[in-house]
Amino acid sequence: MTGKRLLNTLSFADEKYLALVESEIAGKAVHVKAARKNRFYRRRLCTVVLAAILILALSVTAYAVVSVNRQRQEELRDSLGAEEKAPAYVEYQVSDETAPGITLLSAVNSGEYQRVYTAICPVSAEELNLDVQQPYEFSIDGGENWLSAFVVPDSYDEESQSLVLSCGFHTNGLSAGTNIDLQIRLPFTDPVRDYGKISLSITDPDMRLICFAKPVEAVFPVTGQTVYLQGVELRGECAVWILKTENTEDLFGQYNREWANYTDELVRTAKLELSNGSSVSCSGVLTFEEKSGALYLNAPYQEKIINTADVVSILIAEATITAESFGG
Amino acid sequence: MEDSDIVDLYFSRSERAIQETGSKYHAYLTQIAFNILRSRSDTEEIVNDTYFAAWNSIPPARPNSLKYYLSRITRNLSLTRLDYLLAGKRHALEVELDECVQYGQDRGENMCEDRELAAILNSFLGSLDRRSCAIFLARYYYGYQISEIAEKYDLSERQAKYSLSKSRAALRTTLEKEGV
Repeated sequence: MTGKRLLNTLSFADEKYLALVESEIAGKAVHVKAARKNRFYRRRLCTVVLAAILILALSVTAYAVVSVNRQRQEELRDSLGAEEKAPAYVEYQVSDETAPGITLLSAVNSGEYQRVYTAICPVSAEELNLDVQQPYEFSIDGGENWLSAFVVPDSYDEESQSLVLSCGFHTNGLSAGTNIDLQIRLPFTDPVRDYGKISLSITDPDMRLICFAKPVEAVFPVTGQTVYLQGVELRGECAVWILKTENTEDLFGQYNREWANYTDELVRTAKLELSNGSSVSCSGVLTFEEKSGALYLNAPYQEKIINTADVVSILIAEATITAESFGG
Repeated sequence: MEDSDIVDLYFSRSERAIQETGSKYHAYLTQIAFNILRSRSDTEEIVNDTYFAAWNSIPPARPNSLKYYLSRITRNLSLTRLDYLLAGKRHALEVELDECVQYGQDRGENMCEDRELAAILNSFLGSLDRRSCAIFLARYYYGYQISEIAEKYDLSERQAKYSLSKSRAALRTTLEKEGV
């Protein structure tokens, strides 16, 4: 099975799904306009405020030169919502100079999926404008398999001719600390542009397993069956909710859609309260797994990377579990 | 003109069928071919080839929806042309979907029939919410770029990418579950 075969077979997509591509746009048309207008005014206001701040800053203090890669690290941290002391988010040491080849910027591991942000140099303006959506590829197995690297939008720095890429891959059981060699190339030039390779370790997903002393009960309204929430495995970038219930075959068969909506809602309304008074919620179930009679629902946080040690209480299905009652 | 009337024209072998198809669907088909090929001259050729293929296949085919029938032809012709243009190199859409298959696996094993795979894909599309399904198909059926999808659905590029990555992860899980 390859991506190519999936792509080709999508030609058999049912017409009712193809129709959604347009109907979902049409349904949005009215409030999209309003939203755009609001966004325009917000942007304009932001521009004025930012300009004022910049003028003020320049008039009172000398402009500090920050290397482009350090600035990129700050931007990545902001955009990913990484907490200052989140162990799952690693920032690498970068020098003030932008060296040719690959520079590691930061990395985050969600448990099964590792993302590594790198800067590559040199990237010519011509290469930047190649008519290919995601032209860069990376490999972690010595060049046997290549995956697409994603170009971080607006990350090209003309002066240093460097660009930021996000390289994401399934860890497939590789544990934290395992060394890998990351290779990056641009295969669409002749000859292929090779950015070389760099060694790094799989980073720590910062896992913290919390088994509830007493399972939290919830009811799946479609069948009326009880769902027992037994605990959660907190990770820096996501929470894996552990639950048990009966007739899972029906849930994934006959009631698949209703069950998906229900679990999405269940994790979306859950809250993790942190020691600094703030809270984090999940954006819905990304993947699920059934093993040893339990269901594991993997739900990423909403643009946040946390220190799992900071979680002091959990609110889910109208129950509050405080640190004192955290089990194992 | 209604699609059924246009199809009738094909059945009566009237060349007006091509004219009517063009006046109704030229822009739609041009968009699909251009999204995939990003080249005006190739796009034009592919759209003309689509009319020719439709002329040759209707009859015996009597499509339920002429629009999507034509879109499939255009898409298939465009993907074939793209393969030729890239001389065997993989393009972005393929590479992104590679994520959905076991990394490093498959050199021919786990093959299933196209029809079986199509059924799995349709069942997967049905399991997505309407929005995610629309975004997924906008990218992998229609070949829209991320920035275009973000614009269409009033999302930031980050949100659009997130939605696609979530759907790809779900597809990967579905395929693993089905043992494909």
